[in-house]
Amino acid sequence: MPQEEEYTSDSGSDFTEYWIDWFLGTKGNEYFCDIDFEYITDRFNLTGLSTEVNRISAAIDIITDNAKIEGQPAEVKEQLEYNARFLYGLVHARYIITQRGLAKMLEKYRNGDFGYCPRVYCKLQPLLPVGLNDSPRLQPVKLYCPRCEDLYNPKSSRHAAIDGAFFGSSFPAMFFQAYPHLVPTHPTERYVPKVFGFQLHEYAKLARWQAVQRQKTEARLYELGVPVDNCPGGYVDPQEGEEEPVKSAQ
Amino acid sequence: MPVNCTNLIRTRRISPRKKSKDRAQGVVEIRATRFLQKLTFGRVLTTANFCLLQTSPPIGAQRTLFLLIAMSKQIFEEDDLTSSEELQSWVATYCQLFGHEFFAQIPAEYIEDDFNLTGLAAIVPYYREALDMILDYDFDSEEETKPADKQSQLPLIEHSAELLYGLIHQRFILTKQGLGLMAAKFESGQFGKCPRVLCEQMPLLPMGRHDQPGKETVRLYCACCNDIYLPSSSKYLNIDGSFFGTSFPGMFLKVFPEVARMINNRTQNGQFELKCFGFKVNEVSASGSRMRWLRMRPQTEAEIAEYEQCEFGAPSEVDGSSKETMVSDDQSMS
Repeated sequence: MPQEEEYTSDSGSDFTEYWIDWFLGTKGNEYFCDIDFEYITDRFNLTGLSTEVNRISAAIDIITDNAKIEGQPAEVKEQLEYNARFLYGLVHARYIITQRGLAKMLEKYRNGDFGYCPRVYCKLQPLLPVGLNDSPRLQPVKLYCPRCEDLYNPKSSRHAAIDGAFFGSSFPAMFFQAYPHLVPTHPTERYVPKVFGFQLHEYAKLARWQAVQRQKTEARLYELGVPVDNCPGGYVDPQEGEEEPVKSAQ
Repeated sequence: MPVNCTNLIRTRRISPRKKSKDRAQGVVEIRATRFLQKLTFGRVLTTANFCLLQTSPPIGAQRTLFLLIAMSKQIFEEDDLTSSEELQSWVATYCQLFGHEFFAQIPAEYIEDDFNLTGLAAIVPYYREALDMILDYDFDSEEETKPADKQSQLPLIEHSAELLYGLIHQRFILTKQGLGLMAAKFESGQFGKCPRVLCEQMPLLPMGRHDQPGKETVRLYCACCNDIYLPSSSKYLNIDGSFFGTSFPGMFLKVFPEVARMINNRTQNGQFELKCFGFKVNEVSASGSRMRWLRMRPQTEAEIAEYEQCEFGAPSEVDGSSKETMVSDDQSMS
């Protein structure tokens, strides 16, 4: 992108870094991917955001390194910075469900930038960020595990403070619609509390009932001709794994 | 080494120069001897340097005085240190170490009872020495003939002591007293909170998937979602799962029925469902919801009726490979 380089050299300041690079490099912003300049500068992509962000054009100028905020008083500068970060987040939610954005998030997903599922049976499945609401300032970001299809809190408090609207509630679904081959298999293995090797009755009963529900789902899908055995989105029975010695010990 | 140093101090006390000093210095000396008897190797070395400097003859009066002040200061400081350390047993120190927050302090009476240690001698190397170390018995007095040998084995014995403590811990936390201690830790959330969003910060319980040591590190059980998780911090990655055992969470749930109330408040939350622009993803799609069963609880009447049928095995109308294994599980249980 030669255009942007010109901009920074024109500004003539010793601060040669792009605003977006600075933002992505800040601690706690590891979940964000970089948005193309063309995407931010296209007004169509910002439809409706002017009601959410004050002085939106100033914020766009900061993000695209078109405005200098060095000379401003501290309070104004802080407010402008906050607006810019807020706008970036909201544009980010829109950007990551575009084709280019999904590709960038795929790379981050492969790197495990969003962390790994803490559930033991998910075996360190990478997570995806998701918001519970699409409007900002309601709920912080959560992490979705495609293997157990559940929501988890981020490990770090820095990440737990990010607004969920910066990722949007549709992102994981959109991601797996775009890359259906990446949907992981689901392990049918589960934990039942035991005392001296004997399962606790009410927990074992619930586990049996839940297994029945799973078999019903499997039967339903089988009738519709959907493959469910060890394929993307299918089930895996981990009989060959480490459960063997435990059973023989019983 | 400690023996030599004690001798040094003793000879100093007899010297005429020493006798001319005031009584306060004598007190320092007595404290020093007492403290040297219990010293660890590293501290002995530093103190021994001071002693040697003092006893060597060609030192001026002023310099001796200066050294004496320095030495008494050091000894007083270290004396305070040792007196506080005297109160703290090996068990207390071990449980306060960084990353050992999950461990409950086992009372000495429990460890001293040989019945509680049945079978552990076969698993733990240096069993006797490790047990002595946990109970703070002075094993130097028994075999003074081979102190150098002991010194070289110390890291091995320390490792065995940690293993032995963990295995006793596994048994102790199933007793009434141990469960009480663990319940206090559970209530204050010392084992961490469930990372699952809908469990709403439910406190976790430590457990292992195996009762034999050296198989897997500690895992955390959430009674609300009935699942096991990896600890959020890597500092718990060197704690063996067998130090908590497979039976602990089950026993805990049975002994404290109050936990069930905490669970019931949280299971009303429902389940998370992936949505795309507000629309549910169809089950037929690969990314559709296929793991709903895992967090499902019977809600409607039909579901509850079906749940009751699962009392002693899976109902017969459902065909599946896992059905047989479940029935056989039940037979082995009854």
